[in-house]
Amino acid sequence: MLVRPDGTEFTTGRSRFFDHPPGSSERTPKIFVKIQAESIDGVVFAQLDTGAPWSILDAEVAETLSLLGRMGEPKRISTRLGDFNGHLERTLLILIADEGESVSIEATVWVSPDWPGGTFLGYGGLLERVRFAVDASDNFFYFGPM
Amino acid sequence: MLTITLDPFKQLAIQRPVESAAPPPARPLSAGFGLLAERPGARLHERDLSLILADRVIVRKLGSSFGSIVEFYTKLSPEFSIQGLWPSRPTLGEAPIISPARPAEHTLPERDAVPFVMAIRKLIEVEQLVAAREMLAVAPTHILTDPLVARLRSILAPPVVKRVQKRDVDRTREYEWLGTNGHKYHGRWVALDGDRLLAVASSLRELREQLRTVAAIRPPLLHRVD
Repeated sequence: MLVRPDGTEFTTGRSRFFDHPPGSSERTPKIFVKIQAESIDGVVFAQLDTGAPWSILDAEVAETLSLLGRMGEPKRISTRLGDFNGHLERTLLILIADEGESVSIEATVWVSPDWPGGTFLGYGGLLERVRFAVDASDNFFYFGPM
Repeated sequence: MLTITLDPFKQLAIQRPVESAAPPPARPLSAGFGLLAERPGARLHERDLSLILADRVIVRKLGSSFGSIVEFYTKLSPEFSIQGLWPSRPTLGEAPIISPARPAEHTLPERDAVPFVMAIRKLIEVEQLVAAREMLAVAPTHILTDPLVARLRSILAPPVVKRVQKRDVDRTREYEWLGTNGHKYHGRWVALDGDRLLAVASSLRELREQLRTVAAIRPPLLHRVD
């Protein structure tokens, strides 16, 4: 999909991203990419947040993936929505491509039944092993394994 | 879900088996370990580290990382002091480092995992993922089977990324539908296939139940309108 100057692959797939919260009145530009998970028979949006130390799953998505009942690693996080207690868990997510190849990521994510926000893809435990690039002119998100 | 206390360090004590949750009892140390003997007022992790340092096998295993470990502890707990340990301690390159030798399998019970777990959790708490991984990487092999250490190894493992032959379709129509109609479904989950609304529900679970009765050609877009 994207190649380096030496001809080797940089990314293997791409998908169109959306730069405003879908259906929301908030107009602050963000990057929403599509992900899939094993137990979810559909596609959900996740906000790309390279500044986040961990990825966060929507509480209901986490419940669907049976991640809330486990005894993962306790972890308290501070966010603009407040401080929350939850756990770090290991799970499998798919960055789904519209073109090229998708990638599955066995990632570490933070989950909490109290989390009121959506799903975020953070750097630690997830994006740190993904090559990715953003083409803001056409809203394409390029990605591939390292 | 969350245990009684939400403090990870208190949870540590709660989640551990009773026998290993208790602070390590004072262990009789031979004369050679004099300076490593438990000091009055020493904290749990301080005592445990002393026990770890007292074992020549572990000291050797830590190798050059030994300094890092001590540095970790010193940083994490400013009151932690190793003064008094150093004068009689041989350098890491000397052999035997500490004698007499004891069989490794009998020298360190699982409780030696406690200081490592605590230190690593402290690093996670301050979002020092790389440092936490580095510290975990030099954990003595005999504590790797400890449930808490095993869990940390799993959680802190780098993500595993693989190619998969799976594709989605362009979701522009769904996105446009949400832009036009999303405000009508504030706080609710919707399932869309193109500009076709397949289901609406107040929870994802309910939405998925509704979708079982819907014939969809492709996986729908599931979204909660905020």
